[in-house]
Amino acid sequence: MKNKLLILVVLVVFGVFFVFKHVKNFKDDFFKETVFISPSQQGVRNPIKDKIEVINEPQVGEKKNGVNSWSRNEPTEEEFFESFNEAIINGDVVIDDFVENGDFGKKVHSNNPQTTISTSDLPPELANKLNEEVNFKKKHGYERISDDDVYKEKSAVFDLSGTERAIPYLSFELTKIPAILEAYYEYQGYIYPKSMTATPSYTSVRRVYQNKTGVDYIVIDEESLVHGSSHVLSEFVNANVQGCPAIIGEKRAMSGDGYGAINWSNKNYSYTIMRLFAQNNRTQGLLELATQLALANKSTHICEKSNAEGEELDGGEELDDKAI
Amino acid sequence: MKVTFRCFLLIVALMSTTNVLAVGYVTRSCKQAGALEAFTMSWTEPQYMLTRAYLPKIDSSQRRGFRWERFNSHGTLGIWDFTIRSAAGIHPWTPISIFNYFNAVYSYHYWYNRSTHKVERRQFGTTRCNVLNWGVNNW
Repeated sequence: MKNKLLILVVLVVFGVFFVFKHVKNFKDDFFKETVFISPSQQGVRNPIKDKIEVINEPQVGEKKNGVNSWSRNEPTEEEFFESFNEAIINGDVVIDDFVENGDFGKKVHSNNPQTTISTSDLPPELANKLNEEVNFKKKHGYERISDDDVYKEKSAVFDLSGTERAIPYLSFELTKIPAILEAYYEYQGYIYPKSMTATPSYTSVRRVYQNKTGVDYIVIDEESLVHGSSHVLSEFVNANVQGCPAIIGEKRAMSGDGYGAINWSNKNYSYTIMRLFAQNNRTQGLLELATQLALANKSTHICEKSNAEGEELDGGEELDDKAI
Repeated sequence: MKVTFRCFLLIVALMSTTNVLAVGYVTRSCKQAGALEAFTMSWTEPQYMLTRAYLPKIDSSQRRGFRWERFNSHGTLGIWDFTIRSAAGIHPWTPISIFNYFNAVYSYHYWYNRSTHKVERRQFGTTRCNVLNWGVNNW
């Protein structure tokens, strides 16, 4: 009993020592490391904006100038990221080197939305599977998916995160919806589709529209590419959305259930538009809607190649983890 | 206590949400915990993923006092892996001395999205632990 008590006391003493030595200001560290600094566009809609600004002002500066207690003259955050960009320019760091996978690295780091990835750039096992899918689609006119896949897409429509049009907690500016859609479909709400963070700052969102006279739904999924890029597979490309390669087609399960979808990406956003619950002609109108969406967002719909090096450097600046 | 409570809420919310393709990535620079690492992970099913982490190794011959060293994730399909968790960098169990590195991680995450037939790339850099975002960053 005495031994147990002694062990407990030692542990408590070490615990207290550790907290005071390494986590001097625990509360400040907590906010400093996790709070999202929202972009100006989101400021008006973000209910936690004021709180965030108050919390962040002094602490971010303090962190950048401070020195880690374990470090030996550790460079600052800015110095690290400047040096990384320098290393890329000097060739000390090669980020597009994927020897076994041919041109995959050059393509995925091309900063060109028109660049597509070939199945031959992917692992042979995956490439074989994808080539089979391509052949199946050519033969039957649709892609085979599981009932579970269909169910996942459909069920999300009934699990809305909210119904307001000004969607909160986004780290990017929402795409304008073309007027033609709202003429025939009614806005139902939005869903945050992919994972979540403790202090929400979503990089993707889905908006759901229901046909005013029919049973089908249109789901517009958009995702910000501020921290990366997205490239469609060339073997699947069968459409073009205002200069960007796109994939359009029906996805059908063994039961006959399915949906239509069109996927494309530009410089700033990755898009998927789905038509759910339609009994037939599941891809009808999707290409036209995608085109209208691109035309309604001309300023962000960039499909041309940009200055690759410069873009990479700019991206590096934004990599600061304040952007979480 | 507040941290624990928020973590608990986060886990409950994550478990109850309808995530269509819950794929996330996280980069953390936790030298104190022996971790300078980057992860790409899927919460629902295995995915084709690849992660690369760049760590600043202390090198006095360099102008800035360090050079960037690359760590690739474990690949079973060449450099790719079909997995629920693709990790790169120095983990607490990695037999490499973490004291030869400064406290920063710069990472690249690649994922083949089978639903949209897109290859996605994301990049991230940090000098912090990002405690509450372990594994739950948006893709």
